[in-house]
Amino acid sequence: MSEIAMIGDKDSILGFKALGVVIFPVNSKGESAEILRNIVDQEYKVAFITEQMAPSSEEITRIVGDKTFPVVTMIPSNRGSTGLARSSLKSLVRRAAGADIL
Amino acid sequence: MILEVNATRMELMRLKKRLKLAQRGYDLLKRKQDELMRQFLELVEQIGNLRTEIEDRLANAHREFLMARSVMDRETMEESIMFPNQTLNMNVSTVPVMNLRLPRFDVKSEGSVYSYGLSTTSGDLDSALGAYSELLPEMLRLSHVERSVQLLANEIEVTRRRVNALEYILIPNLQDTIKYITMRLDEMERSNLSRLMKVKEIVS
Repeated sequence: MSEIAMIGDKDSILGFKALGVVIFPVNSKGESAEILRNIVDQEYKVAFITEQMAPSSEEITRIVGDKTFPVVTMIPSNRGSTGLARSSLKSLVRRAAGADIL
Repeated sequence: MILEVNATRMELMRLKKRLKLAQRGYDLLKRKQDELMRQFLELVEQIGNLRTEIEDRLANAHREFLMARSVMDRETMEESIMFPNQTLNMNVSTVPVMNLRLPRFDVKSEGSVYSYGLSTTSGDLDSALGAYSELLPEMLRLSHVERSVQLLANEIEVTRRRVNALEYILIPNLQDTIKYITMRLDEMERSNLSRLMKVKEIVS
């Protein structure tokens, strides 16, 4: 069974299909939350989501819970990076380290 | 702040035991915090560059894929990559750090990405898929490093809160209460002594 899933708009993720990644094309954030829920149940190890289609990070945390897997990572879609992944990481680091070190 | 307790010798002993335990706990948690921080900083250093690099490379790969897409019709395109020849052999493990299990992926890919005939596809598709397949292991690395940073950050926050609670609330409270009970007991001792002296004076 494949262990890597990818959620996003079709054009951004189609190419990864040739690499053995299981792709889930979606058109809205609601849909991707739904699919993410299935992914958690099906014990995928990694889920990539394009930033444009990613549910909010609170929503992701709620869906994944405190399980180690799947690891959910945001990637830029073919329309470029929105900086969402970077900014959410930044605020996390600021809270933990007490300083802006990233 | 003084805790609500009876000023008795037994209570004093109990509190002293609690103080010792609290100090030991504080010591351990403090050390845990230091170690978490060390691991955290190590990963944070990696992650900034890693993300920038991957976002750049992914943007390039996307561009090439888009090119391929524009010169091929949809059906041929989807047909060509419908049956992946490549299987990803991913070794998933966890690295224990303190009480956390940090995820770790090691990837080996087998087979060729080019699972299609050359006659109907464009050269751009080859290069796009090549770029994607080079990128995937890096993306997985980003994935596990980023998740580790998240887990560590949360744990650091929780640990810091506990360290602070011990350092600024529980331990001072216990110390105050112990001091209070000691003084009360001493005071009782003294009053008892003077009473005895007085009684002796009257009797003799």
